[in-house]
Amino acid sequence: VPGTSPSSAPPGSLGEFETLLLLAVLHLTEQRQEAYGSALREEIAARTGRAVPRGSIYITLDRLEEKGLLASREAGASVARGNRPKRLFKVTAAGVRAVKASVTALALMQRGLESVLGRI
Amino acid sequence: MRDFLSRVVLWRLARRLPPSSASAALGDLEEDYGRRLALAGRLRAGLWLIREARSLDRAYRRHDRFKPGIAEPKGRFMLGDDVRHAWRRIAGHPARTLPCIALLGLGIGLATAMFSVVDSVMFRPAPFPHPEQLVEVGFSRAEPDVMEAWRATGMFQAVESARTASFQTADSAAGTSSASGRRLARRRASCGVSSSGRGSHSWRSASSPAGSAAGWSRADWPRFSTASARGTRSSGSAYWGRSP
Repeated sequence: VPGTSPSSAPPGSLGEFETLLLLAVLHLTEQRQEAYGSALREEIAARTGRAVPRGSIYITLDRLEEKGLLASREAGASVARGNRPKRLFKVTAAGVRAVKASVTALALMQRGLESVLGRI
Repeated sequence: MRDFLSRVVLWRLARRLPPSSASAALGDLEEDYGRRLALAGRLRAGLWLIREARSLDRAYRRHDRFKPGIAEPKGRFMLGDDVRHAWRRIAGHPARTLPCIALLGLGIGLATAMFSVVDSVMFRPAPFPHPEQLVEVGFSRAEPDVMEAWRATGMFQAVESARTASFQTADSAAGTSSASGRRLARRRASCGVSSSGRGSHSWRSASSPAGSAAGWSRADWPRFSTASARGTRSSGSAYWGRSP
């Protein structure tokens, strides 16, 4: 398309960290655990070894919710949390589609590069 | 787990975070702090809490900064962020930064030098009474007969010469150069009005007949005479005439 820069992402596509976060929510949901800020941060750290800044988690969660890829509700207030509720997330149907598209795109791109990247 | 430190940190943070995210984020932070307190002790947990709170605050500030339509809240200065960003850019590209700094320094130095010259030559008047009457009538060795010839023309009220001179002070001759010795040499040179004996210099004070006749005082000469205490001699004299 004339005037479109090659780096501009198509609407609905996910950034790398957004994909990671959605996958982390899916993992916690599959394990029947609560998917909230701290738990998601630990899940990403445990699986990827990346220490993600706390602020990035909340800001990205807000953005994904605005895009309609996540839904949240508040629950689980306790004394240990200063009587503040947790914000529990779950991936919406649109979110699942977006993750699938993102992961598929990555898989297609790495196909044929096993000799360079090895088996992941 | 509410101790004084966590209360203060969380209270400060609560005022800075957007209300939609504040409650859950602060709850998560307090929960994690409680866990860390049990594992690592009060000091380490406290430091961790301060670090995390700063990181969270910074992330939201940066996020708000680039969000369209959101103005910077009053009293919050982003100077720290700007300085940090600038430092990262500088540290990340030293090969590009150093020539820029060198060029900037050269430009500033050149501009300063040019201004200094223009200021002293064009903007500042000569430090004499009626400087507009002062003219340079020649530049060579100050021979007495030449000086007399200039005087004899009657074109000028007075003709004197100023010489760039230097002194061999007792200090410098002895291989030392004390500050007082250098000051003395400069002070003598600054009032140096030479009527020039051949090959020698006779230094006159302000009360000398020629100086008085010309209406020049000892303080009139500092800009036309310089000296150093290095013991060198210079060779040029300028003749200065005062027009009637």
